[in-house]
Amino acid sequence: MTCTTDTHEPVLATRSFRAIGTTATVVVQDPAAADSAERMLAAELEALDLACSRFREDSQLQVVHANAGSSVEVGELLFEALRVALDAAERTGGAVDPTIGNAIAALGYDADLDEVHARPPAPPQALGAVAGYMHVQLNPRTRTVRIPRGVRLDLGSTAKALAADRAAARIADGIDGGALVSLGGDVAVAGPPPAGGWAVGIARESSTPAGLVDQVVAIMHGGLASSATAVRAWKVGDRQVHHIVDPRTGDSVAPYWVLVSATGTSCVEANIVTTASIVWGEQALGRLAGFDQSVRLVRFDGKVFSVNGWPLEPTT
Amino acid sequence: MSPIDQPNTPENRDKARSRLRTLTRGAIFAATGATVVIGVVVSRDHPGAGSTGKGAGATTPGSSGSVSTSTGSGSSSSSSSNTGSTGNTGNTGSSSSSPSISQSTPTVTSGGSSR
Repeated sequence: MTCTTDTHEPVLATRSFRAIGTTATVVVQDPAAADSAERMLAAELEALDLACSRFREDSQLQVVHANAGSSVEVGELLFEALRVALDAAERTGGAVDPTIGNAIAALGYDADLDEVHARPPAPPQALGAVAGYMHVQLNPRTRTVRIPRGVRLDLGSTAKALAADRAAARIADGIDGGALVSLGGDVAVAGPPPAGGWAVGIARESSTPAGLVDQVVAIMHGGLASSATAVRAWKVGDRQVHHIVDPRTGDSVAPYWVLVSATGTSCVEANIVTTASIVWGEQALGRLAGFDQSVRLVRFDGKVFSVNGWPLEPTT
Repeated sequence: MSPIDQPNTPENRDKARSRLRTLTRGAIFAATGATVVIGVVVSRDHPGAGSTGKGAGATTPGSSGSVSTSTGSGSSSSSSSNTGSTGNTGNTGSSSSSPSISQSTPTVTSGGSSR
């Protein structure tokens, strides 16, 4: 599909498809490069899924789970995803912790979300604090990982953001032009941007049509990510839960913020801040003082907060 | 030479006043500098007054960076500290990766990912 909306706007070519349980989109400035860009994105996501999925029995992550308690040599992509996840955990004081695998499965998110939605609400299970990222051992020399027995990892948000960053860079390099990659609303851009930058809509759901978004912002480089509590949600017993887990309780985070968006030098950098802010709840504004990213936070009552230069403007 | 040995002439009185002005300016300058140093130390050590450390473990709940708010409808905006803010963290500028408002039609939307 080629998008042409205004004679003054650049002509951009967009391709979208389903992958890793969400909608994957690539946007390029050269329509002739769109097919090639789509193929590169699909290949990157297939590689990510094979390395990091906690739903695929044949993923490398499942090998790590099956050998918990022992050191396991893993591929470069999984090792990088683990390194990024542990870095995120350390920088957020454990708010974004990859050892939530058992907790999120106990909440019922143990399969692709479409499957979770299709079955009746599961009965509540006992919840508790997760093991903690500090117990995951990485050895870069041998490219091995060791997790404690009984621990399962969920690389969810950081791995998706990492995939967006890697894919955007690979595509921009491959087509020798600018590219935007969006994985369910986690956006990475690389290469030269179009005039005025890459326009990204901000809305509570990434499926919101362009004309109904809350705000449109432009980024020139790096990434933009959003985390929300009202979507990617399901029922446990008679209560609704969502996919962002508080590692201290093992439970779905109480939704103080309904949407947090951030920019960063990469999609990973942005994603770390948005996920952590959801976990931090009302303490997020203070915690964000230690970060450089521009952040937009929408509170449960609709009030919008801007941190570090995110532009506040009347909605479109 | 001791001042007491100097004759009480108009010229010597002018020199003495000039010396006194110099000493006074120096004392004021030193006091101001000391105040600034104390302020910096306090802002670094006092929780909520100046934490700029990286990562959650180093930041201070209740303090804030450059925080602005607007209504959910976006019809107005104002700058204010959030409830519970206890001081400026020194993180007052825009980020190097700050977005800008765009009038273009977005090609993608960033938000919660339901599917």
